[in-house]
Amino acid sequence: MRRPHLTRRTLLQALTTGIAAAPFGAPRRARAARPAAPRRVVVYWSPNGTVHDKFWPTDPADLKTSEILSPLAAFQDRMIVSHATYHGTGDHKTGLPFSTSATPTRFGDPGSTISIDQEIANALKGQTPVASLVTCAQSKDGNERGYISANIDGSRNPPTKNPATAWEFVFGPYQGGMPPAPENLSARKSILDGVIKDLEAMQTKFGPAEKIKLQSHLDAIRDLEKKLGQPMDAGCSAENLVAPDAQFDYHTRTNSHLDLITAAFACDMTRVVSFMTAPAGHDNCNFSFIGVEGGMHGGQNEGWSHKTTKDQPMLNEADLKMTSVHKYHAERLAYLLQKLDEIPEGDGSVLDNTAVLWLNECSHGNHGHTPVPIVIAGSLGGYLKVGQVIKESQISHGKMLITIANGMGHALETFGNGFMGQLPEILA
Amino acid sequence: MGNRWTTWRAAGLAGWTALSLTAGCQDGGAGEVETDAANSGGATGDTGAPTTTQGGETGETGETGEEPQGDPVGGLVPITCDPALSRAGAPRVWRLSRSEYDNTVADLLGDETRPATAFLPDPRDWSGFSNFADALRVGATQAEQIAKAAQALALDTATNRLDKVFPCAPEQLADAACIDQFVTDLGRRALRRPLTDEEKTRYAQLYALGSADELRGGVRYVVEALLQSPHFLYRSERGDGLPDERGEVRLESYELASALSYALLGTLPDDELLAAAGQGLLADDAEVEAQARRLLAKPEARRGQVELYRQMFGYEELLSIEKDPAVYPQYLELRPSMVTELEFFVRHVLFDADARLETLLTAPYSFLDAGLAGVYGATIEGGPWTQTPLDPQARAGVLTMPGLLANFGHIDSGSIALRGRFVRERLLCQMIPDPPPGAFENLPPPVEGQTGREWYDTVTSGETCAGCHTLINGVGWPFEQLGGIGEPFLQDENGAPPPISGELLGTRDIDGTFVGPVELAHLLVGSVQVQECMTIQHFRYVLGRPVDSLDGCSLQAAHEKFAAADFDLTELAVAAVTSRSFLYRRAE
Repeated sequence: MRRPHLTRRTLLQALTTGIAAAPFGAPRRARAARPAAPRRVVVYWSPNGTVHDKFWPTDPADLKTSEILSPLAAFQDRMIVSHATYHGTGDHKTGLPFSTSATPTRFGDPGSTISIDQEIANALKGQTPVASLVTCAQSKDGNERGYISANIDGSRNPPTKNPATAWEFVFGPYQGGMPPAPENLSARKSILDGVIKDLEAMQTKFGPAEKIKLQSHLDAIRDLEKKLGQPMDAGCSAENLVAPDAQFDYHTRTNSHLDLITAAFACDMTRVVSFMTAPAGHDNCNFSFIGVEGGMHGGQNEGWSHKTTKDQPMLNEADLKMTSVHKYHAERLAYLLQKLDEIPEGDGSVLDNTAVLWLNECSHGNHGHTPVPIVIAGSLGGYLKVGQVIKESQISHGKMLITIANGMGHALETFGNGFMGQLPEILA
Repeated sequence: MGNRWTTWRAAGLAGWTALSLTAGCQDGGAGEVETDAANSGGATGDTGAPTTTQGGETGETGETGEEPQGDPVGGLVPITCDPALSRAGAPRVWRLSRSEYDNTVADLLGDETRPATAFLPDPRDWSGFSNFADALRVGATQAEQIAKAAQALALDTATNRLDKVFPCAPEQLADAACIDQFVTDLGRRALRRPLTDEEKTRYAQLYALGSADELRGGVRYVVEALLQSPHFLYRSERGDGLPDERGEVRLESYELASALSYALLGTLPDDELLAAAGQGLLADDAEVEAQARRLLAKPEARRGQVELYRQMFGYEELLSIEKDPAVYPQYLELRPSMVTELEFFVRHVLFDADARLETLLTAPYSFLDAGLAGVYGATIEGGPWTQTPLDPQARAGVLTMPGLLANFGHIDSGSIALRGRFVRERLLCQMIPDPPPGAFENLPPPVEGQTGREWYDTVTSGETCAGCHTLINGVGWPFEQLGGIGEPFLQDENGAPPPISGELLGTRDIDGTFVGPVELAHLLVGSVQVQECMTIQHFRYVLGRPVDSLDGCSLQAAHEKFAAADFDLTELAVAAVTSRSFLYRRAE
């Protein structure tokens, strides 16, 4: 696998002058005039609850006293570790949509609502070449348990599993992919104009539901048109991370997606990412590479997550296995945080202007929605009160998501299933 | 290879008890249901809000979700017709599914590379179908994938298959009459209706623009444009004309031509169908039926009809299902063959055999390559993908196929619950909700002398579990003779499958005990409930949406035709596409 080629000079230039997205066609002046560094949000999502006994640090001032969180100890002062309360029925099915939309209704069903990443992406629309990036490391294609991102009508927003496809989406030029034939940009422009015209005309012939359906298409084509003819290496070059046809294992795929997030942020291609490590309540992941044999959610071993003991002092084999899996997710999160922290920005790093939300659909391996473990890494440019562990109170997850949106510059007041206002506990 | 497979993990009856203890129990098959089963039914599911009941489960927080839970026993069967409730679906746009896109560019441009397999997978309904119109969108990633596919297909077509699309010789690329015919003909095929004058002008202008610095650029960019046109990517279903007394309109002629062709063949309408639409013939129900029969006789039907079964039996998701390589080292190699097996088998049943539901579910033969023969423990005579007899005591049609069992199995084993739930949801049309919270807490360990089955049935017999597990367990257990990829898992001393008994409860007409999946399959084909469910499944697929009581009269009429045809599945396909639910939309 090739590494991202983000030279320090390029990056510094990009980040200090704000020309990272110049290929997008944004006037350089306008972006250079932006006073504050951009803020960014990542939903980093892993399934099957946690092992509370191994999650909560025995000494809140030292994350090394948490087996699962210990890989994140270096970022302790820049993180919030918290409870959150979900209003679901305690299972995967309602916890999954609640984790990102603060509504317990399955995405795609009547009554389901937009997820926080798309809520924020819609508010930031036009500020970056790519409105949002939605990826996953594992899926059961099409299965409802594999969607944490939803559109404005609650419809499911599919994640991209193949890192090469995602890379192409973020960095690939719209034109220029088919050498040796020359490209006729005026013909391309004319084609996209025609598509826009047809979509707009089509919208007038149908009711509201179909209009919404066509709107996402229309938005996407308008974004494509902006990318048209813009060489992507003018301001910030990121050499392709991945070989297009490479077959990856889960671990490599995860790292590739995290590298892509880093590169996308470094070049300010997008500011909103949702990344799902694996579908909720699944056993489609093989963790034997970290010494955990068998299924996480079913199989000969009866599913490790279901055999965990919730909050018992006595830990069984399943608790230890699931601890390893959750710790693995923490390690990957630390990997991402480290990468983001290596990119200087203003007086700090990209990490300082980011919030990475580590979410889950359940409290523990045997389900439940109180409390769900939450980690927020990065302060969103000082907006969040980081360096704290909140274990005592009932924390409203809906308000937490509203707070993140506000920290991103989106003055969101209500969200999801009737949640209002920000969460004072995490405000700086 | 065959030897390794037949002996691998085989166990005598004596060992069976011990094995079954570890074969997917303690989390209560309920846990297995949750992994994905049929994408967890319940919620509003198919019956829509009016016919579902409020789930009484309370979460640990004391807060109950508002969503209704599907009735575990009810569902849509029996099919009932209440004319007062009948109502057509809403007008809509329906994006081509990935397989429809691939079939279409193959037939339109001669490109067989199936580029849409690389497009993002589409969301799947709990009933198995991934072609529901509400879920098929073009988001940012898809728009770019579609654009790039269009660029590649257009360049390749202009460069290598000009004669497939351009009506004149290459020397005549600048000939005005040729260009006009090219735009008119290709446009009509791609957009599945005649172009408007405005469109003809637009594409002719694009041709001129594209030709400016490239000899074949006109063809190239017009093809590229057509492949990105919303009129290509979506099928419109608005209907036209005056609303009838129900406030409903019949699909417009060209809309109907497309609907018919995509439902039956999964591809664009042929010239004859477009001509019939142009002449207004499709206003006549008899003509629609005649066209449907004509289409089903075409070779493309062999490709198109398989898609319904591929989705219904879980073969689409199979391609993303992983197995533990320590247990199933051959799985990844076998997986494409599993899909091929289903395709060969379904084509054979529908078009070479009697097309009957009974054959689909009980045929004691299949079409195998060497790898699959190893899984089955069968011997191929006459080369790969020829008809191969199977042990009629161990195998029956699709129900015992490796691909289906791999999808409805765990990462390292089979699954009582996933398989039980598959039969309940996709063959009996009964929704099984997810297990309630806390279902897995404090499960007692097996006691001395208790068999695995006694233990499993006991721990799933509690108040909160039994409602569903009395439906699941009796159906799921007999499948335990087949492992996580459909291999013989449990065998007696003679290598025969053990007589694992099962019991059907809560069905309309086949309650009772049986032995093994083969007897189960034979019971199922004789059940009115299963027959009706097959009708419902066909409707879901051809309508691209959940069906509900609003479709009751259409369902009933179609089902009567299906039954009268001795459950000939191709007759069911005809009945579905000639139903009022298929032909009409609400006027808006």
